[in-house]
Amino acid sequence: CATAPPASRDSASPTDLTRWQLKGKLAIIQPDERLSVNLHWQHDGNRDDLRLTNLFGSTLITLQASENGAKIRYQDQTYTGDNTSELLGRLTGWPVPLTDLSRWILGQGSQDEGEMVLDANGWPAQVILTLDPSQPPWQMNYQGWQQVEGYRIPRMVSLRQGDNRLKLALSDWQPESSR
Amino acid sequence: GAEENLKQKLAKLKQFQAGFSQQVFDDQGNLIQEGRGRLAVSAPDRFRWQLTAPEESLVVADGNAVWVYDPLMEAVSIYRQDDAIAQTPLTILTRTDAEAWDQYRFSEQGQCFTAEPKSEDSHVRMMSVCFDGERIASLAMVDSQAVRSEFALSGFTSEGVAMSEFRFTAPEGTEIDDQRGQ
Repeated sequence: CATAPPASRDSASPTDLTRWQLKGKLAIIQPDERLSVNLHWQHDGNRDDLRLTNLFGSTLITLQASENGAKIRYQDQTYTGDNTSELLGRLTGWPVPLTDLSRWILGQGSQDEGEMVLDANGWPAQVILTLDPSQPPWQMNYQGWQQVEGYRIPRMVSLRQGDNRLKLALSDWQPESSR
Repeated sequence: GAEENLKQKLAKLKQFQAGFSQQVFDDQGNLIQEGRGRLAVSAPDRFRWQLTAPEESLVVADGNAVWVYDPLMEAVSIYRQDDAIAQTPLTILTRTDAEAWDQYRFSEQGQCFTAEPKSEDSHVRMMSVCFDGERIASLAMVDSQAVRSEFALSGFTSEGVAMSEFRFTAPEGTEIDDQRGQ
C-alpha cells in the first residue's frame, strides 16, 4: 500500500467526478466512547456504499444510501431510513449527514457554501458549515493533501460537531471505481 | 482427525512471532482494506498485533486486558480479554481449552486447517490456518457478509519471543478510554 505523493500546485479538486472509491481509517471520538475502524467507501453518482471493518478485516457495519433512502446493516440486523442523517441519528444519537459531507470530505466544497479559511496554496484548511440549522454547525479541518491522478485529495480530514468528532485518514482514493 | 492434528502442530508453537501482510476483499472481490505489520503470540492469553502501514495501530493482550492504541483515536482503549479476540483466528491460535475449540468443526486439506463455527449466527463463517512445515504460513477468515481477510506471514519464528512484547505502557499524556465496564 504505497502512499500517494503530496499534491502539486496545479492539482484539481475532483468536483467533476461522479465515481470514486476510498479506503481509510475512521476514528469516532465521542465523550463517552472512542472507536477506530477501517472504512471502504464507494461513491457512484448519488449512491454511496460504505463498509466499516475491524482491525482483523471483519465487517462491523455496512451503509447504503441513495436518493430513495438509507439502509444500515449491523450485526446481521437491517435498519432503513429516509437518509443517512436520520438513520444514524436514530441508531447512534448522532445524526451524521455522512453522504452530504462526502464532497467536503474530499475537499470539494466552495467558498460560498461555508466559512472557509485557506492555506498558503489557496486550498481549504478549515471550513465551518451549517448543513441543518436545527443542528450545531460542522467544523472541518484538512491536514495535508495528496495527489492521485491529477486530483488533490486530503490525507486526513477531521470533522467536529459539538463535542463529537470524526477523523478520517485517507490511505487510498481511486477515481472511477469499476462497478 | 483434523482437530487433533492441528492441536499437535500448535502445541509446538506456544510462542511465535512473524511479520504479516493483510488484504481484505469484499463479496464483489474489491480490495477494501490493506495493512502490514507484526504479530507475536504467547499462548494462551498474550498477543501483540502491531499494524505499521498504512496507519499505525497496536493491540496488546497482556493476559489481563487488551490494550488498543491507535494514534488517530488519540487514546488507548482497554477491553476485557475474552471478548476482544473472540471470533478471530487468534482464538484458535492462542487458546487450547475445550470451551474455545468445541465451538468449531475442523477440517484438513494438505497443510491447511479450516475451522467453521457450529452455531449458525456466528459472525465469522470460516477461519483457516495454513502451515509450511512447522511454521504458520498464512491465516484467513471469512465473515457472515462473505468479506475475506487474508494474512500472509513472513519471517516466522518460535524462538526468542520477549515477554516485554506483551506489555503495554501508554505514551505520556495519552487519554485512557477504559471500556472494561463494571
